[in-house]
Amino acid sequence: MLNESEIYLSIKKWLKENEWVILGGEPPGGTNDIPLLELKDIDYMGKGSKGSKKIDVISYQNGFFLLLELKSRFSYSDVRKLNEIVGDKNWRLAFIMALREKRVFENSGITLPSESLYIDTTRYYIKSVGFNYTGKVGPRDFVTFLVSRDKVEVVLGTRISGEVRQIFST
Amino acid sequence: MIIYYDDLQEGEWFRDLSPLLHTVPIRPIGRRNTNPSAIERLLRYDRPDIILIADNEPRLVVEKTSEVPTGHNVGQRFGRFANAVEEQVMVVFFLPFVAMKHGRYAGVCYIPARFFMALEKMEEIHGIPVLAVNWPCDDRFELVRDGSQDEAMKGLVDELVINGFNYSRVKIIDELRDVMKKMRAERSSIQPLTAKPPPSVRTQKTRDYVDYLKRVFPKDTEALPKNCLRREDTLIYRLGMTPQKCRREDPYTGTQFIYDYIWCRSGPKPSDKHANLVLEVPLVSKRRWLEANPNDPTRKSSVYYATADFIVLKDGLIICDSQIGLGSSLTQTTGLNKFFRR
Repeated sequence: MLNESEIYLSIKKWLKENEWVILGGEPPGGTNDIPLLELKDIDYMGKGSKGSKKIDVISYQNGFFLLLELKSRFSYSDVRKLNEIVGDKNWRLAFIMALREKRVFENSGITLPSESLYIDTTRYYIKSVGFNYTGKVGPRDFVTFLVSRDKVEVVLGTRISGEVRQIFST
Repeated sequence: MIIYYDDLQEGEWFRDLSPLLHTVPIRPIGRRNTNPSAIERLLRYDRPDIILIADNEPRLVVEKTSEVPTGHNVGQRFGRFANAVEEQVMVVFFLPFVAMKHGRYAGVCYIPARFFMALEKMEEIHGIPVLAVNWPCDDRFELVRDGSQDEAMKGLVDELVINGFNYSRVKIIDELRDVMKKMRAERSSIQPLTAKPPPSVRTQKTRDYVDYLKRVFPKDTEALPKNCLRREDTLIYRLGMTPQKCRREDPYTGTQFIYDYIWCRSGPKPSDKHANLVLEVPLVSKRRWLEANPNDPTRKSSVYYATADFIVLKDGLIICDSQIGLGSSLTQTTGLNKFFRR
């Protein structure tokens, strides 16, 4: 069974090979070459990062953000976290602000058609989880990455939209 | 050669720094007492990010961070450096000398001059290179992440390997030292307070401080060692921990070495001091402190006792008797140190 660091590195490699632009994230340990993106709770006015959220890997392709949480095994807390971020307008705003703050769009050469599209709707977000192959997959509106030592298998939930399926089919 | 890492991605990053390392095996640093002795020697105070072994000897300890250089994350690593130089192993700290802090209190953060002062003093005392290498940033103080940020590290690692870790032949070491000196001078000039002790640290005449301690803790003060009483000055590092939140080591156990090396140390052993180093935790009782942070060599809390002379608590003193420091009888501990994790 792979540990979280091994899964993280395998996923990063897979994303690069499949033309995803890795924008940022938080490695399971250590220091990485991608920016740490922290989504700030806009209701919290105190000092520090209380209430903020970090996503393990954030990548981009053809107008879609892929938000990916990784663990060695399936964890419902990852599902809950991504549902909360994608499902809440304030968190979507915090997400766009985090990318802007770290100059991610400029550094990666990405131009969004309209930021409000990403704040007002959930359409361009792909929720995903990745873990060792254990026979389990994520919820129906998630993309699941099953990672083993020699391959990464992608499972699209039954509620994944046609336009997202198109991205993963190419 | 073998590369040992605390986290795989850093191990792979280090291996990719030089074509001369591409075929070198990389291995995780295991739990305490499960590693070769060459590795165990470097885990007494904490776990470094990278340890490079060549000819069965540790040759290089590397730390890497992208955190802004003013925060706890930087200071807490100094215990790893102290351990490395005590074992005569070269240290390289790869970090941004300046970077943008984000969030509600956003702003440009510059490295404090005292970080360089501590590294320079470590090198001076132990006679082994101790370098800080800059992770560059762009014109808006965002870290460069296009691969070019590693150029200086690549040059250094290449030269070290080519020259068989004969440091005197590695010219880039002198170049990097010059960068550090220039940066230290610049920060000392622009922000002179960063070359002095921070607000949590103060110096008192030992006689005055001991007089005070005698009044408040007469019995405990009698037990102070004579060498402590002989030193003219005492440096007091105040830790603002509460009884509820005192079971923690970072950043204090590492940061104490910054102040120790700059303002107290005169030689390679922690006991080689010209000024006392005291940890002051005024809100926590002795009983609560010992319960939360025992001098147990199987726990990272033992680092509190590794270089300080004594700890002053709410209701008394604890004399520090290192169980893990250089030359301590229990340096080769047999305990399982599961707590020595970041």
